[in-house]
Amino acid sequence: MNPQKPILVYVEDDENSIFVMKMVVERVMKLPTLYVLQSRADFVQQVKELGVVPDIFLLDIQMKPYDGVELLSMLRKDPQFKYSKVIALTASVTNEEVSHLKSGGFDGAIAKPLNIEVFPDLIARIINGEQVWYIA
Amino acid sequence: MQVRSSIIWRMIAWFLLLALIPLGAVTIFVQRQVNQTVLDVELQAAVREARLHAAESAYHPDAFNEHTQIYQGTGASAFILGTDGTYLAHTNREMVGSSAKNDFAPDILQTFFSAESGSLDNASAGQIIGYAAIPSQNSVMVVVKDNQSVQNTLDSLSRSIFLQLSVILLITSIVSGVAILAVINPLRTLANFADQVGSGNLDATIDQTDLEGEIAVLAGSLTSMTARLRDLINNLESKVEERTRDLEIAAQELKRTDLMKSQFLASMSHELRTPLNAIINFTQLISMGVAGPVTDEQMTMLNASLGSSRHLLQLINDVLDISKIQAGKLNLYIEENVNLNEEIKAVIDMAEPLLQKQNAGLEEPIRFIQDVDKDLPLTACDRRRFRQVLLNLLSNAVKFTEQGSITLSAKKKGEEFIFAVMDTGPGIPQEMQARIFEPFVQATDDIKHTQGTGLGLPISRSLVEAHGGELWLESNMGEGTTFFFTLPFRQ
Repeated sequence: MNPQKPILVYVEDDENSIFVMKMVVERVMKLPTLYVLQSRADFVQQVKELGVVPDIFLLDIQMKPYDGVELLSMLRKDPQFKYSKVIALTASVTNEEVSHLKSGGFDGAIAKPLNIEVFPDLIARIINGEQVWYIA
Repeated sequence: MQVRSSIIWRMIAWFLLLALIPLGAVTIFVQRQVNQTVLDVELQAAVREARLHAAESAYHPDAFNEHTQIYQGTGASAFILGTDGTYLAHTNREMVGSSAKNDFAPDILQTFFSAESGSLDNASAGQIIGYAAIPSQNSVMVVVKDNQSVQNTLDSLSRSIFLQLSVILLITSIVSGVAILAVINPLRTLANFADQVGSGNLDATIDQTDLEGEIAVLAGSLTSMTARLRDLINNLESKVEERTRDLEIAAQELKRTDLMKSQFLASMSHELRTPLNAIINFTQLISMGVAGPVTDEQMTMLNASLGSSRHLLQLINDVLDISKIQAGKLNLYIEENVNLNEEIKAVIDMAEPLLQKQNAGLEEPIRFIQDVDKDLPLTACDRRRFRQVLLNLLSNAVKFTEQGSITLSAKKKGEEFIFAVMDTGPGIPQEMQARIFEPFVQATDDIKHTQGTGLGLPISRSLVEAHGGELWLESNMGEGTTFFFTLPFRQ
C-alpha cells in the first residue's frame, strides 16, 4: 500500500454523489484510483475483479437493495479484506445511527454533505490507522 | 330477606288489646248505670205501691187483704206496721201480731215512721222497701220487694252483653287479621321483589295474579320501573362498549399517524438532503476552482449560494430535532471520557469563520475573549450535542453583536461545569426572554438577522436539559446578553 496513493472504493447509488466524489478524488486529491461499485449481491466478487485490495471502502448507508451495513458484513466474511478500512458515508447523523454503525464494525463515518475542504485530511488520517467519526 | 310474618300477629294483639279496654270500661259503666236506673225505678215503684195501699187501707179496712194478693207467689211482701213495731197486717198472715224487730234493723224501723212516705234500699238484705203512713191511723204501710232477683237478672244481662260483645270482637279481630293478611301478603310480594331488585337481580318478576287495586298499580309501576332500569343499564353498557371501541380505533389511528409522521420525517430528511448535498458539494467544487477559474464576483455568488444551502440544511436538521424533542424521542448518545477542552476548541474553530465574516463588514473588529479553564476533567456526555449547543450560542452571539466583544467562559464548579457566552450586543427585551425558548420565535424582526431557524435555542435548551443541566440567559438592554448553561460532571 502506498500511503500517498491509496486505492479507494466507493459504493453509492446517487449519480450526483458519485460525480462529486470523483471530482474530489481526482481533481482535489489528485488520486487516480477511485473505483465505483454498485450495491449488489455479488459485491465481494466485484471487488475481487478489480484485481487490487482497496485501502479504503467508502460505503453509502442509505442504499438499495443492500445498505452499507449489509455490504460491510459481506466484506468482513472475506479475510482478504481484513486490513481494508471501511468508512460509512451517511446523511443521517443521528445518535442511534452512529452507535449502529460503530457496533456494526465500521472503522469510521463521514457525514454528508462531504466537507470537501477537510475530506482529503480525513482520508489521510484513516490511512494512518486513525478511527475517524466525522459526523458533526 | 323474608318479610317477617309476626307483624300480623302483633297487629292483631294490639287491636284486641285496644278494643278490650274501652269495651270493658263501657260494659262496666253501662252495668252501673242500668243498675242505678233500675234501682231508682224499683224504689219509686215501691213508694208508689206503698202509698196506694196506704190510701186504700185508710178507707177500706179490708183493702189490704184484697189488694196485696198481687204479691202472692212473688218474692215481694207487704205489711202494715203499728207504732209499737208489730205487724198489724201482713201478706203472710202467720206474721200478724209478731214484732218486726226480728226482721228489720231498728234504724230501718225508725225510718218507716220518720216521714209521710219514702223508700230505701236495704242492700244488705237485697230488699227494696217502700213505705207510706196510712192517713188518720198510727200505722205504716210497707212494701218489701226482693231486689236480689232483679239484680241477678241484671247481672246475667251484663254478662250476656259482655259475652256477645267479646264474640263480636273476636270475630272482628279474626276478620281484620285475614283482611290485614290479604293486604300484607301482596305487600310482602312487593317487598321481596324490591329486595331482589335492590340486590341487583333486575330480571326478578312479580306474580300479579292475586294483586288488585293500588297494590296492583304499585306492582305495575315497580315492574315497569325495573324494566326501564334494565334498559338503561343495557343501553349504558352498549354505549360504554361503543365508546371504548371508538377510543381504541382512535388510539390505533393516532399510533398509525405517529408512525407515519416518524417515517415521513425520516424519509424527508433523506430525500431533501440528498439533492441539497449535491448542490452544496457542486457549489463547493466550483468555488474551489475545480471546474475552472472563478472570478471574484462569481466567488461571492457561489459563497452566497453555499451559505443559503447550508442554512437550508440546518433548517431541515433543526426541524427533525425539534420534532424528535416534541415527540419525546430525543435520545442522547453518551460517550465516556469526553475531553471538553477539545470539543470547545473544535467549536471555536467552527465559529471562527463566522466571526471573521462578521468582522469583515465592521470598522472595528469584535474581540473574541476565551476564559476557558485548562484541563477540564473528562466527563460523560453527548459530544455532538454539546458542540451543537455551544456552537448555537456562539453563532447567535456573533450574529447579534456589532461592536465590543464576545466572551466564552468554561469552568468547573463543584459537581458541574458552567459555560457562559457573553456578548455586548443590543440585549434581549424582558418580555422576549422567555419567548425565545419557544420554537420559531426570534428576538428581533430585523431582516438582517433572520438568517436563523428560530429553533436553535429551544433545541439547545432541550439538549442541555436532557443532559441534566440548565440553560438560561441574563440580559440588559444596550449592554448585552449572557447565555449560561450547566452540564453535570460525570466520571
